[in-house]
Amino acid sequence: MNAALDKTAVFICHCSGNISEHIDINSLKKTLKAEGIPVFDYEYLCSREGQILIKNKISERNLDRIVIGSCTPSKHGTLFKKCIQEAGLNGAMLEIANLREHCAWVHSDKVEATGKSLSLLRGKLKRLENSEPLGEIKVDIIPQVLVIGGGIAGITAAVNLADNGISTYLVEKDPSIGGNMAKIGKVFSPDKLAEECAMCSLSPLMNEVVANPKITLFTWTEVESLSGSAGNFTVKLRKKPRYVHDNCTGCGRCNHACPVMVENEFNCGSMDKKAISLSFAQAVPKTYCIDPDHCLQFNGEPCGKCVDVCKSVAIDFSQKEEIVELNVGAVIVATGFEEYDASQKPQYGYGIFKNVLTQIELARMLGINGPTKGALIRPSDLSNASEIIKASRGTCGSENTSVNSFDHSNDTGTPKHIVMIQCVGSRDEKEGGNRYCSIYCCMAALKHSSLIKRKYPDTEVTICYVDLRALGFYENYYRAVQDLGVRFVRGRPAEIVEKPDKSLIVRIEDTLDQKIKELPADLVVLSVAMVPSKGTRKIAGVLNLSQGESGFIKEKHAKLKPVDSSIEGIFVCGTAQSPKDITDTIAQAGLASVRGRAFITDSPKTLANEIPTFNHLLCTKCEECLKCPFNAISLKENGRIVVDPLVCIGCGYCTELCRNGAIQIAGFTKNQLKAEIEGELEEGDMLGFVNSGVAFLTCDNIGNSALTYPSNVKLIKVPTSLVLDKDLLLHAFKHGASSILFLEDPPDSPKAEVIYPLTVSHFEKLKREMGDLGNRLYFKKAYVPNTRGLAGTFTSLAREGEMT
Amino acid sequence: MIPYINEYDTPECKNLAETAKKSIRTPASLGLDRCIQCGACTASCPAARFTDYSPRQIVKKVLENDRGILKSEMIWSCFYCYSCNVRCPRNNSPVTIVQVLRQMAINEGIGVERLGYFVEIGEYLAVNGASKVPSAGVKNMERDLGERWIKFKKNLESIRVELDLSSKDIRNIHGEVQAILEGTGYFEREKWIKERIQEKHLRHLLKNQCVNKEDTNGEFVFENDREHTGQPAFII
Repeated sequence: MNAALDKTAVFICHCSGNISEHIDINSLKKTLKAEGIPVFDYEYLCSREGQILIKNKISERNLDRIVIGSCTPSKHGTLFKKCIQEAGLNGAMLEIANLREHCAWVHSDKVEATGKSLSLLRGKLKRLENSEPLGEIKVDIIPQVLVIGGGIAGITAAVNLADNGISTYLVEKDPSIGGNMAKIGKVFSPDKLAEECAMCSLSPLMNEVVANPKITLFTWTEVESLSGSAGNFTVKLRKKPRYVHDNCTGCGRCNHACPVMVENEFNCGSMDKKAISLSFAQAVPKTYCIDPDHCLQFNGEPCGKCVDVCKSVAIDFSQKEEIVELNVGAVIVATGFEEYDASQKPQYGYGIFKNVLTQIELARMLGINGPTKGALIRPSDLSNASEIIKASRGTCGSENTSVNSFDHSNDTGTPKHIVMIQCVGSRDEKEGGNRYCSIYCCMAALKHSSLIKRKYPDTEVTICYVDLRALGFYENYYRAVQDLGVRFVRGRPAEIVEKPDKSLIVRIEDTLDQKIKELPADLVVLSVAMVPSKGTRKIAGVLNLSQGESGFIKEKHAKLKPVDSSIEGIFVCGTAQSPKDITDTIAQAGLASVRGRAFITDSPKTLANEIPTFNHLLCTKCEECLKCPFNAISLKENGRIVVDPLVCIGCGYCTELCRNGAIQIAGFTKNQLKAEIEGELEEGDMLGFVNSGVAFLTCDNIGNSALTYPSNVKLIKVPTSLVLDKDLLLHAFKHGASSILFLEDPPDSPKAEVIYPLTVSHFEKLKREMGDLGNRLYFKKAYVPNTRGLAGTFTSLAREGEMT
Repeated sequence: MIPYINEYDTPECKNLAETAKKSIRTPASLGLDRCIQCGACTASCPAARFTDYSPRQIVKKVLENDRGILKSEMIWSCFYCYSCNVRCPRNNSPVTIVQVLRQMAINEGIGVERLGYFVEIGEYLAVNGASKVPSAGVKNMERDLGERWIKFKKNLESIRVELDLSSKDIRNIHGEVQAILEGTGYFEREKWIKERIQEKHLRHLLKNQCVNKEDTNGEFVFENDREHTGQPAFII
């Protein structure tokens, strides 16, 4: 008997008859006691009394190694570990033998079950002889969060975090926050069957961002790189120079004085912006910004008119870009969407015919702060737009509230027939199209139709649709829009043709009439798809986030984890994750802020300590282990190989990569595994090495399903089969194994997708290396629902030595 | 006589949709089942603008397994411009489906008379290994292309000599093309088609003398002809 086992004891749980009725606990006690190992049994070890019993025995007898024979470790493993830790022992000095799911519940013969329990206990006892205490790995999480993207999603997330007292950075690549919501003018509300001003809702939130002491705002700034790991990220920001200091009061004199007109990206490209400007009048922060591509000062013709009129001396042409480094615990990505480029569907003439617009371009036109101050004018008439606007003002008088001021139908240049086309670039399998539905565009079309019909009652609006999606309570809004006399034609238009007077014909089959129709239109509005913005695509690359097939940032689980990205500690919300409207964006941003908060307040983080340990004496610095598929292993400057506990998942691939045997997984060392094999195996056994994930769960489920298999089936848990080598397998055969089964997790999760192919090739390599014995090696994937199949596999392997 | 039916082209399946999908003409990505009846195909179709043809309706009838479509005039309007396939958001292809339907119709002897014009091409191909404009169409070509073309055609041989080209002899003297057509059952089918055409022609003549009913949509008028008895049977 090993001296190390002097201070070892076994505790067996009756489990309310679940174990005691199928296994002769008394005989176990007698046998082990005869070998000098104290055995204590109790009705419910998991109960408070059970825990007290364990702790008392530990202190009474000065025990330092414990074996518990009970239900599966998945159930009470954490509980028992905590129990012995509270008694002063290290958590690694506990082994749990699964006498219930792997024994009492699956073997009908009591004698056989008792015999197997004995071998299970012996296996664990022998394993413990080779166990060493393992230190806990704890890391502090930085209590700060970075939000990337200053649209409604980012603003909502930042404000929610700040309200929870969390220090937040908000980074936006444009000179102002606000995003797409600032462009759209109005939002639809199912409550009032009317449209609300978007800016009225957004402005207070934008101002809150600046006013809140917990939020630090960076605009005109981009994220350059991210390093570190979850809980400890280091982010590099690149602050682009505005050439205007923060003491700018936003008075606008410089804007007046500037002689250069540039394209206004906010107003969808109309030339109504100066080289020094704000993105829009309500920009936050209200600091002007110079466009160096067009400003004369930067293009060889020093002008300086803005400097002359600036009372705050805020303009500084010598300003340089700044790199800012931040340390944060979590990141929320809220980089939003952009409109699909409709020129990819040339049959609709976007970019070719002047009078074809997208919904957001129409929104700018209808917006009171837009290029036409809210007057709806055909783009082909925009050259004499100013006359038209003046004329229309003249017709209805100045700001009076007479009925006529709302009816602009007599304005010249107002389109009389507007046709809207749905699903441009959405629900489209063809080249350049996107398969998904963009969710918001049916509602956007209805909203704009409503606005137009109310302002210009004589204008005919026709919406060409295939399926009109006004979900939930928005159905009311659809109904109200129908009452305004908007016409609907069911069909997807084939093409648009332009007439010499720049008006258009839309050719469509009305599938309800089954007739081909040609709809005349002064203006065609395309409801284009929502696609991930350039910023979203860029940040996915910078942060190395998984993207879905359309480029949106992929969430961990579409239903259960909609805001967790593929990387721990990084969350995603809003239209960067998938198409949605403002309501859902705000809801999702709220969830992301809670997830972010939960993540950083769960500090310090205890990390799994069953990770690789390195024997630096055996290490030859061959750097093979750096091929870790998760990049968890690195070579430090001092020449030592280290593993990042924040990244490592303990799969054990490095133990295969290392040719010198310098790597072992703590808690699953070669000695421990060999010992467990020795203690557990008897002649003629089928030995199964079970992946500690889904595979182990499935084995437990066989017990839960009251299925049976022969008692000469012995299972040993491993992180994955990658920790097994030829030596271990020979050891198993030497100790009586008739066949060995590798039971692996199926490639159903992002991590398993990486590991599974490695286990397959590892198995095939071992099979080859083992020669004849290789015929007694088997490999199987364990699918959770397939407990019956797995029990069958165990049975046929145990009886015939062959898998059927 | 049972016509040669190409199992790859028009496989026997329980419904029209299965046949269309399994046919070698249609790619695996064909979105037949996924049609959302949006009408983009019909709105794009040049034939639909001037006839009752509607590619959308063709797809609908195929999905509904309406075999009456094989007897309809509709399936003969398409001339393969592929606009429907270019614009379809579900990657469907009414043009290839119509091709399969046409073959199925021919297999039942429907619409064979339309092939009369093209039979010459097959004959010429078998002998010479090249295609030609059928004689019925030459008049149109002469009219469309004018005097110059006619002159060119008449003096082709001497022009070739002038250009130092060998004498025009396009016969497939080794008979490979003939062998291929033979081995793939072309001649069987051609024979069957010619017989059906002749049958129809005769029946049409006879019908004018003895039957009052109008022969609509290429339907058989005599019930007996449903079984292929090996000989055209007409009741006088």
